[in-house]
Amino acid sequence: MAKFSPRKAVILVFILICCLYFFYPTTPSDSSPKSTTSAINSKDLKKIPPDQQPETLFAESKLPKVPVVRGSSQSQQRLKIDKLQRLPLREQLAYQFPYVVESRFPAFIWQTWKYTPASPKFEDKFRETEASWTEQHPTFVHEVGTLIYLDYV
Amino acid sequence: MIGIEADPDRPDWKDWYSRRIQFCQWTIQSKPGHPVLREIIANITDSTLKLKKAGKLHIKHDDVVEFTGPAVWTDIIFDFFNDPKYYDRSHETHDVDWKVFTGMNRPKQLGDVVILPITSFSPGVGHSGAGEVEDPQAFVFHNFEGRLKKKTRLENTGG
Repeated sequence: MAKFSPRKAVILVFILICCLYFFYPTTPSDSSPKSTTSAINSKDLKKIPPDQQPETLFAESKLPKVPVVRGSSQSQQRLKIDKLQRLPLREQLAYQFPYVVESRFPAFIWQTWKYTPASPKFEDKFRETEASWTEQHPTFVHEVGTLIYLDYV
Repeated sequence: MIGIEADPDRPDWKDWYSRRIQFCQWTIQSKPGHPVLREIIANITDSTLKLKKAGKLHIKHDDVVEFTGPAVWTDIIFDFFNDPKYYDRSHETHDVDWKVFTGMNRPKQLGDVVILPITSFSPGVGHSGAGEVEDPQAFVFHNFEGRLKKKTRLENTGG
């Protein structure tokens, strides 16, 4: 039976520390996709000449700028699926997709079409324009025709 | 972020367009869950189910502009701009209507919505003061293959 020597213990601890150092995230991880540049971020806005900057009109928005924590008040209680499904559609959507003004723009470009570019039915005349979206916005995920299934047409 | 699709400054605009100002519905940028997105989804769902119930739901719809196109999209956006749930309108004397946006050539911001001028999402259309495709304000170009166009619509087949 081999003895577990102190030297081996030190080496093992050293390896463990190296692993922790290299692999442990230094910032808290979140479930959203890795952040990429949004289509218009504050850096881009500064590049826009002053006479092309958005002119702010009068009305003040009442929409929540920061996330409302679910469960923090009566109206934000977590709902069971059967209760949720009995709500009108607009309320179901609002519950499932809460809106926060200061959230990030998702780095996705979605285009609806009958076919995806991978399909043989995707016409060649569209290929150049379809590709232009990825060329102009390489940091975005670009999906065409993947959200709609029209097999019955 | 939305754009202007059409701004027909002509007395016979009703012969060609559904609304005096139309917001573009072929390009939209949004964060998840915006009330306008929620409303357009619910509105079209309601309309579709209503037609189905009446036995009038067909693959080819006569008035797609009103059903899912710029007319309904524009109406919902104006409803949003004028909704006291979303905007503090206590000091406003006038509704937000087409006059706020007609002829604009720089972006406008209303709360959390930025409205881009017509050149941005609708360049090269040959009306409404739209700039050409090469204009620095032009961000997206619609090639108008014509599948959804109303036959009576003012056409520009250039490009």
